[in-house]
Amino acid sequence: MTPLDETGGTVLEVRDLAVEFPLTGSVVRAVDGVDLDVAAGEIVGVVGESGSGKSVTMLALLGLVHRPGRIVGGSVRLRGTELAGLGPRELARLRGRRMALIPSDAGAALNPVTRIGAQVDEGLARHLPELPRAERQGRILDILRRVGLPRPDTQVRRYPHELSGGMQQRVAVAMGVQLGPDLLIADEPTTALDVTIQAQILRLLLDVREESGTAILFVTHDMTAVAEICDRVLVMYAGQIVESGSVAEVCAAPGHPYTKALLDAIPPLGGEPPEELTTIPGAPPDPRAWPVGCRFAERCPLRRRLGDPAECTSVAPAMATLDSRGSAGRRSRCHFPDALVEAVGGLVR
Amino acid sequence: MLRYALSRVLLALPLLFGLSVLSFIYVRLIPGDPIVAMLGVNGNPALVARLREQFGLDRPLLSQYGEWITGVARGDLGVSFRSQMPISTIIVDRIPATLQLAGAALLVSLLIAIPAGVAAGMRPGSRLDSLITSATLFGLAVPAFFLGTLLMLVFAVNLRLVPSQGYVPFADDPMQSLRLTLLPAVTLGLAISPYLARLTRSAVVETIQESFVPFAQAKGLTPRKISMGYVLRNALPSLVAALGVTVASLIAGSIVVEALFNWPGMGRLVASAVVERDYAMIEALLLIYGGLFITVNLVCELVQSVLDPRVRLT
Ligand SMILES: Nc1ncnc2c1ncn2[C@@H]1O[C@H](COP(=O)(O)OP(=O)(O)OP(=O)(O)O)[C@@H](O)[C@H]1O
Ligand code: SF4
Ligand SMILES: [Mg+2]
Repeated sequence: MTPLDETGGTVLEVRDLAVEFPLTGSVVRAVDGVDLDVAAGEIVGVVGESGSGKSVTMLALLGLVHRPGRIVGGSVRLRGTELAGLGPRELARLRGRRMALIPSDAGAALNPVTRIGAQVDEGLARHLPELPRAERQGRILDILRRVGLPRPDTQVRRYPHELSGGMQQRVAVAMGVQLGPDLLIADEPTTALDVTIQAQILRLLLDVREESGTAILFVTHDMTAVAEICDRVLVMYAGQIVESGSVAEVCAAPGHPYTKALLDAIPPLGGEPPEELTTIPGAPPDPRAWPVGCRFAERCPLRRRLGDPAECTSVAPAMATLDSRGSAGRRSRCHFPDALVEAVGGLVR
Repeated sequence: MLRYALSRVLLALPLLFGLSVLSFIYVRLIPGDPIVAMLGVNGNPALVARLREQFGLDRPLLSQYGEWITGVARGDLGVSFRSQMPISTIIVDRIPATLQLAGAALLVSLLIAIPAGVAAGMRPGSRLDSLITSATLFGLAVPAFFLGTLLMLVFAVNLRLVPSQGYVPFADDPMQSLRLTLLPAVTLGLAISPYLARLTRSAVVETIQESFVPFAQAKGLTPRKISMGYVLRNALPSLVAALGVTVASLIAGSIVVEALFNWPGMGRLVASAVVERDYAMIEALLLIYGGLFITVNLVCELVQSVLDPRVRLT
């Protein structure tokens, strides 16, 4: 299913991941039972409202949830290696080399007092200390050229603030891919950029996948971008994944009312992508006390249409395979996914 | 870079001018006649008249200022009302002792406050942070003279480890000079440390919240590299600024500490000039201390701009 599958197999395997932030008098369970798999060369979109736990999940994958937050359960396997069993030093050795991050705002994520070249070099020097300096220099220029930075030989001597936002983001992408990681985590890598630059960076992610077969987790608010570059999509709501499947199938026939609402919120063609997906009426539940039943129940149009069935508020729906349609791996966390299809099918507005 | 430096220097000039006007006016604003204030109402009228004539107090303000400031520009700070000696001579005499104490105190403070502030700032909210923050609060609440007296009682009077007070020029007897410096330097160093530690802590706290820190972690860099190359390196310009501000508390503290330890520096000069109502001396000291503060902060600003590539452009 993936276009470039040289090494093949599963790169990332996450089971029942949970992250908590203890507050005074309560606990925020920001990520609650996340399962996900990413295959080599696959680009997987992660979408969901602000606060749904996308970033915390990504940080947890990198082992970078900071005190007082902590990973309270689950397993993260990177190419078969269980990360939960690794110490901080071993984890740090994996970061940047086997799994890398592209930040959302490279302008703020680059070290303002260090020249571009030296900054790209940090990762090389850290992970490939045996590489001679002269050779590293060549690799720096090479990777910067590959991400399309014009005149890399002059840019390496500049400071981050002397580069445009798009260039900074390219440098961040270069730092992410320079060691050929198995997994690239891009948490809203284009939010700080204007539309044309956004398109260039998305193009760049596709190139990276094409050239090195890197698996990419692509977090975004922009469903259009998901449709453009992703193979599969994961929809997060209230700390959980509520739907997963191939982009084509999910977009054609969403299996969860929340996904449907997200898709309905896409602006008409040519319109600006929304800064945040706020067009769904109501607000997500309080993360300090998740509801017993379905977390989307409060806002669910399908539940209302079905005449408020008791299951919705009394039984938490599990992530279940949607047998009736699509390929394997098509799953949704709703008691009545088939009713949604009928509702969509018979939709008369 | 050069243009930036030049513009900073040019900006400091009006400040210095304002400072000179303020020092000048301050003395003239004292109600009544400074000479009478100094000699008392029962002072010999003939002497009063002579002094007034000598200091030009009966001429128009503007011409007094003009004469004073051209003198200052030539290094002539006038004559002490009290001792009748040239003020510049008196002050130059005090410089070695002043610098010796200030330098030693600054060293003590740097050794205490910077590590404490960094340790607290690296892990805000931690137990170590609360401990250090409470210590600085306590330090702010304890007056320097109390601290100095305590140290003197314990280390000089009871334990007899060091002499209690006095000053010997370093050139005359280096060992004794250093022994005499120890207590006042520790007192003054401790007195200014709370300020420096707090400024350091907030600079570090601000820096660790920047998003380049998690990105550096995501690159797999070592904690050592992250704290040195990222956090401290980026906090450094703010630390330099903090040091510049600390000079103010160093000056204020030295007045008390020099008096306590009988240390013949400029701080003692301030105390005696105020007690003796030596207005010409007060005027000169205001100018010198203010000028020192402006200059130190100017230098700090220039150093900051060298340390931060973003400043150089603006
Ligand atoms: N440091 C923290 N302390 C307490 N709670 C936190 C902390 N960081 C995150 N959270 C909680 O985790 C939840 C998920 O946050 P997260 O940043 O993952 O959302 P997100 O989906 O990335 O949102 P956005 O689209 O705005 O980036 C938030 O609701 C918040 O309550
Ligand atoms: S379980 Fe009920 S409330 Fe939840 S999404 Fe499905 S229909 Fe809506
Ligand atoms: Mg986020």
